[in-house]
Amino acid sequence: MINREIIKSKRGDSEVLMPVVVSVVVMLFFFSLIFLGASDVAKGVAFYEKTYAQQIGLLIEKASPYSEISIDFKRGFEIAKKQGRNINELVKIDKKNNGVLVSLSNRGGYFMRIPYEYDIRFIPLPNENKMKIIILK
Amino acid sequence: MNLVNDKKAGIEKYFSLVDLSMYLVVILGVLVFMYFFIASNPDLREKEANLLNDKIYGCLVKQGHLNQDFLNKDFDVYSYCDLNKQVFDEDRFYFRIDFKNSTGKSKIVESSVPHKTECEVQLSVSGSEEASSKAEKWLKCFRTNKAVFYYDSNGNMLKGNLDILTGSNNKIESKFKE
Repeated sequence: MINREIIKSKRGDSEVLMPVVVSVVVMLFFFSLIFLGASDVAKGVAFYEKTYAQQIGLLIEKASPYSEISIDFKRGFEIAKKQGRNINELVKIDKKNNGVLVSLSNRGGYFMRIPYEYDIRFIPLPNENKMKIIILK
Repeated sequence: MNLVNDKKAGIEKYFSLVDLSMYLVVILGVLVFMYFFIASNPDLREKEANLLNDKIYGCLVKQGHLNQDFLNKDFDVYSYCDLNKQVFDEDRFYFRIDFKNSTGKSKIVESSVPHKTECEVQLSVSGSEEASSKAEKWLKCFRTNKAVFYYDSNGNMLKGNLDILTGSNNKIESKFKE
């Protein structure tokens, strides 16, 4: 359709060029909206909750007792601030279900089971954008 | 009537039915992609089975020597290796420790839900794509089989074999507040 109209415009029908331009602009606007929306979803709360839960879960599974690990938690603090969450409750151990729960919003969070009986503490360090994980026996 | 016709012609001048249906297809495609992106979880089971295997091996063997406590009758691997029994009873993780002494006598310690057959099948078919895809829904396993030294009741150092099979069926879960 566009090709046909461009050919028409070459014939001298300048009015035909306008709809093509409008159509292209609308199409670009539409695709930008879609990609912005998709990237927003991809970088949203659920994505980070899931990623942090997996990262922390695997780190704990790999770590030895009496060790201390710090992970970058910048985006987690940013999201939690926007969601009005208490930073001391972002990552915690769910003793009933034996796992780590990451909750950056008030609607819940993501949970990963850990096969070890460690005493684990999470210390948020928002000034350093880090979450400190202390693994005790 | 003319006004309506003019208006229709105006809209169609910018967007044809083909354009609109193309936009709809793209929207649907993006929505489907986003749904699968959110719903999908990377499979960490193989990695977890590997880590669990390392942990159990590290807990039982020090510098190639089997911890003598393992040979005691009342040996409890859960408390000894800081394993959470409940998680194993819930069938999220699996382990099977098989120690064979120099005479071939075995001592086997296994978690409550046995998965030896699934693990062995899965490990044996790992090269075949078709069989692997069939075993995709099973727990993911990892095996370590190493010679270890141990001491008999007379204090003689002997060579035995330690086979550790571990598996994971752990999945990340979303928790919503009620």
